[in-house]
Amino acid sequence: MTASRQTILLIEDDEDVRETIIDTLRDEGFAADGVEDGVAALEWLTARTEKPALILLDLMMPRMSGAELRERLLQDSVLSQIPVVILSADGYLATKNKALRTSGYLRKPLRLVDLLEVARRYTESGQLTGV
Amino acid sequence: MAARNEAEQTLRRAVQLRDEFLSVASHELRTPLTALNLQLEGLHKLLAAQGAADTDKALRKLDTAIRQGERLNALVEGLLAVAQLTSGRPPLDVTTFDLAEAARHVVARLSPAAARAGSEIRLVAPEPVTGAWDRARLEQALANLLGNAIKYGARAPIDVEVVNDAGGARVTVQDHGIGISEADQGRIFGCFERAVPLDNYGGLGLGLFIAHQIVEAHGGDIEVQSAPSEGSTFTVRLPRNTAVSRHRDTAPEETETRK
Repeated sequence: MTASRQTILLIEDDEDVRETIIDTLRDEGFAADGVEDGVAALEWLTARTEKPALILLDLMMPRMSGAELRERLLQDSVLSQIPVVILSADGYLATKNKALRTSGYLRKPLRLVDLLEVARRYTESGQLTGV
Repeated sequence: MAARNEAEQTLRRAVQLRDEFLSVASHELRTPLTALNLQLEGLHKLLAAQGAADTDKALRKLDTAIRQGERLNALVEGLLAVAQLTSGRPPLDVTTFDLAEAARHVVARLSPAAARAGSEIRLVAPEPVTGAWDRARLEQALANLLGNAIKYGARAPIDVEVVNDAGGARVTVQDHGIGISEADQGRIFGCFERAVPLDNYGGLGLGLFIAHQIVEAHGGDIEVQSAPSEGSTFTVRLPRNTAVSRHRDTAPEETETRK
């Protein structure tokens, strides 16, 4: 088990939201990284052999939306296996979760306790210790 | 004929503009609240972990800031809901879930506010009440009913019951507060309607309207029994499964990630 296997990748275009969530996850001992949209996410994913344990995916983003990225991920035999949880202010997340075949969703504005529960659920050992 | 086509096109365009506005407004309003709330909660957790005496004051200030953030969330959600609900019945985001569990979630969330107002919320939900509904909207409806009970509950206990009813679910929210006169009971579910003097109580007059619209969108009904100084009991009845034709999709096998 390596730390990189436990990385949570956040795809979120709003810089403040992205940095807040990344900082929050790291403060809690999770390995987390963030990119600003679907294009950057594909670059991040193809540049690494170790894939993230979880993708947190915003939907409304420039260049490549969350839905477009999800379609691309599903076309790839390896990338389609990564659990994806939607993180969005959209009002129809149950419907979109089904349509995009994602693992679940977090509704913005999200609560700290809900974010951490999802992070723990999808990382192998939950919270890292001594980090 | 041409004039009718033009009018239809104009109408369709207006509907499209409205839907786009609501979608963007939701995103724009909720995004900064996401960062703000998480930063405040994170700061609170950081300070609380230090446990030093001199952090107590900072924690109290943060508690207030977090509460105000939650209040702002509720206002934003209310305004967005009104914008959606008054511009035609929106499709529901239906999933299968336990309404009793959802009620526990809402009660847990609002109990601190009730305690500050001097009321205890007592929930009776002895068994799962499972059905296909829009969880976020029903949680909002229940939160609105509870918010009213807290606000007008005169520091008395508030009783919430969630049970299986003939062919569906029944939710009651009972307070023992100032009550509503019979004359006002006919209009309290209207948009912007308020049954209390502006000198005494704030509020946008949206909570019961939103609750009513949400329940109706599910094919259910909501009624009130009340008398001045004797409290109010709101009863919501919902069919077990929201009619499929009322929304664009169903996802009966899914459960919400959000607790």
